[in-house]
Amino acid sequence: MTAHQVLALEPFLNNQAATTPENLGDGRLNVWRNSLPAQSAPLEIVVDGVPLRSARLDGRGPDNVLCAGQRIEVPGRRWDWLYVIGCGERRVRDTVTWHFRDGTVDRDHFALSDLWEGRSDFGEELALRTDVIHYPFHVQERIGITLWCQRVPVTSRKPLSAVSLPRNPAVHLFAMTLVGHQTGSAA
Amino acid sequence: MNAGSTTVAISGAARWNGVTGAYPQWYEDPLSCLQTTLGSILIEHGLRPVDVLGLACEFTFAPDDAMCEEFYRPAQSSRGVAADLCPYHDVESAWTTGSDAGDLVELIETHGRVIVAVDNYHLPFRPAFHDVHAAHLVVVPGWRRSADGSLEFYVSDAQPPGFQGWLPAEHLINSWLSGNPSDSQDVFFSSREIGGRVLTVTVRPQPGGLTRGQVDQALAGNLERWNGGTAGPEDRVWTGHAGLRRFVERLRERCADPAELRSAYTFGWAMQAQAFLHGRLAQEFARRSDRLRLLEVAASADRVVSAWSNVRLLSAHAAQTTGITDLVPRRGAELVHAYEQLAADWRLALSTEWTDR
Repeated sequence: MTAHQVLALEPFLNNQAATTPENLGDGRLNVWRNSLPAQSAPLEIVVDGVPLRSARLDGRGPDNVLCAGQRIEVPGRRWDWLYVIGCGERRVRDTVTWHFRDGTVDRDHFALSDLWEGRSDFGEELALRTDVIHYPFHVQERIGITLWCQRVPVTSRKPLSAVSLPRNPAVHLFAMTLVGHQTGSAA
Repeated sequence: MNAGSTTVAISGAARWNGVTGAYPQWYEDPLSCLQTTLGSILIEHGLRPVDVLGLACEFTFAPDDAMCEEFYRPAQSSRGVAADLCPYHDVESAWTTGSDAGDLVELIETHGRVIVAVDNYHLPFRPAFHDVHAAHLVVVPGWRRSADGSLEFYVSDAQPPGFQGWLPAEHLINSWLSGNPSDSQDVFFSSREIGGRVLTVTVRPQPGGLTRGQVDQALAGNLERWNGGTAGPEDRVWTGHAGLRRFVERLRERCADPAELRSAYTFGWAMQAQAFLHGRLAQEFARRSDRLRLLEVAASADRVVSAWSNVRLLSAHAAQTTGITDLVPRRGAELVHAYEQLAADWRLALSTEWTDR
């Protein structure tokens, strides 16, 4: 049996990815201030049996975490994977830092494909693909934005207490869920 | 596309004419318009762009150049940027300029097809149309007079959203002669006048496919340029290991000023694209030639591509990024390390001490 913990990202939302035709200029997905069309509901998807849920993507404010070294406390136990919905401004590789309950730290690599034009470089599943892309002053057809489902291994078997995101302005995260084993989880 | 043609005047294009088909296009997402336009012309001449553009992989940086165009790359040889990118093939290029539609027609007649510098603001098929000024390159392989006598150019642009077809001359000419003024929406690729620039390219045929000897020659050349690079005070171009280290040091010296870091975003595109193509070539040739050691080169080249993403995007977002003075040296060190690993894998791939599998 697997255990899941959807992490609440609301306290960390610091970037706006979605806009409406009325506030196109508010998007900050990349240096060109592109954005994705507002969605009627948060993204709720299941990948490999793992539930992922984004914040609202209604174009009315911050809706994702631009990675800037944020430390996110997690339920203290052994976890195996961190599943995310995210995208890179260009394809991007970086690391996340695990903080273990015994005070030690370690890092694992993660990789995210480009939000632009929707080609997966790292075998990710699609989380969202739009038909158009928002520019600060117009809606552009024939170019789409893609959000990806990706996963990061927690290589160490130690009980975890927190995760620190990379300090990387090219990485946008929209949802995070930890995955572990149900049995033998009381570390 | 190609509708309503009357008189079609195409000259010199060996494998393409405007009546019967589309112009070859080639695009991969890490590539800038410099590679995609050159690649299209290589296809037109029967060559595989990855096999030609993916052989060389190097670091080269000219500290005193203006670097505000997507297609910028430090000029090295007298045979032009195409020769710099394709040092193992008989390819060369030259920048020239024109000032009116007649000049452009003449250049197409002389060279068969030309690469034309444009300001996206004036091109109806670009997302930036009447929105953002930004420099770009397109291939123009033909011109014609339509039924009403008006002049049209055939324009091919492989960059998304992708376009090719006949365009009324005024769009291309306005774009080609644009002042490309400084644009706050695109501080990276605006502010240098397009000024009627045209890149002419000459490709001479090379019989046969890529051989193991040619790949070895390229890896050895890459290694030689990496080890023999220089970055002295008198060097116009900083190259190789020494050049990259000096470049990273320069980023660190300037990291308090976001405007000074912007050029790493624009300039880095050409370096990143070349590393991508080198990795792709290594991967494809490893399979074609059953030479699996090249797969290590491919993996290392891919790390160089990723390291460039981090340097480029950090530089682009410097003004909004907390702790930039700490992050720039770190990302710079990662870039140096990525190239060092690639160089180590070139050495291993060339080593005769190992069996190949």
